[in-house]
Amino acid sequence: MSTHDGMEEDEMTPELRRALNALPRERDPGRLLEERTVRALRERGLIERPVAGGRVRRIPMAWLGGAVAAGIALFASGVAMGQWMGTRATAQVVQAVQAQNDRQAALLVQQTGSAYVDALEQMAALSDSGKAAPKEGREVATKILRAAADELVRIAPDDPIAGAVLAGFQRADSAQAAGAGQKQRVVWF
Amino acid sequence: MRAEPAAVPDHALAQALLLRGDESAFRELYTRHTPRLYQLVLRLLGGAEHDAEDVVQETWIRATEALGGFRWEAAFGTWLTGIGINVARGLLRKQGRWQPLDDAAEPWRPPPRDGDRIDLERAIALLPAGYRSVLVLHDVEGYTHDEIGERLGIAPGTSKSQLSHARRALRRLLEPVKEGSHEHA
Repeated sequence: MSTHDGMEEDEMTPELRRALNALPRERDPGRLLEERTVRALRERGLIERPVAGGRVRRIPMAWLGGAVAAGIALFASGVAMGQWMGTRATAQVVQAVQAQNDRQAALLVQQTGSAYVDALEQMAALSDSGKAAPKEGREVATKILRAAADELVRIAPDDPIAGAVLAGFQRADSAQAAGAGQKQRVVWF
Repeated sequence: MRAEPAAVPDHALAQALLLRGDESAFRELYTRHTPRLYQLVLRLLGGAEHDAEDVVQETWIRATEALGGFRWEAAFGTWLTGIGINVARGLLRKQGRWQPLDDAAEPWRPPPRDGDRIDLERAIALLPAGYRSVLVLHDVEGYTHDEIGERLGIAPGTSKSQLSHARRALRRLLEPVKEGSHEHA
């Protein structure tokens, strides 16, 4: 919609023009039509009924992206921590954790996390070059991501990011269990 | 004084509907856009309320199904209205009320009337569906002839000539009835 063409205005009397301009542009069809339409969309699987009796938690997409990134970082830190503990003096790490030295712990996570991200980048590069990404590696990465999120939830049960990652896994599990007949909602990482 | 919370943009609501089937997002979109859509299709259908409700429902179903392919090059309301016009036209055609718009066709003449003067809304409803569509889209909704041509699948020139006929017919319908005279040359 844009402007009128300004044509054939001679066919329009000013009275008629005013009357047309004064016509209402909106009209409420009533609540029944809304409910009818919502029901029709539900029957077609286009919208989902809100969870009854419970507060539905809405997770913005930006959060979900952040959650995935944080989950990967968490996984990286877990793997790196393992490597660190294997190659360095275990006692030193334990000592640092026990001493609750946040700064040192963060440094360890940063160093070892980079190693994990590098490993995933190499896997991604395999895919980009046309070679199949190692399936086993991908499965392991996913499992460790889930385990890491589980651990983070244990540490901080109210953590929204770890919760969102776990919720994504649970939805994927449900969709898989529901079988091929139903519409699947897959969280892609 | 508390500031009003910013309205969630249509795009964000559509994303929530598309990705999660979010019912509350759908209801918000419905509340925003249905009054305008309903009024338009009600006029296009000549005031048939039940038909207009069916068209609105079908429009939302088609829009929700097609949401993934919508590229947001136009406003959501404009896109939705386009679907509504197509659905309304399809219904008129199915009911045999939509005659092909043709430059060469004989202009429609309103039948002789008896009784009181009719109001504008009623006069628009009495027009043939083709005239009514062009007149409503151009003179009420503000579409250009190019846009009407695109929506109705006709040439812009045909839209212009149909509008001209529609305006003349509308003026005749709105003229006061002169007793003993039913001339509408």
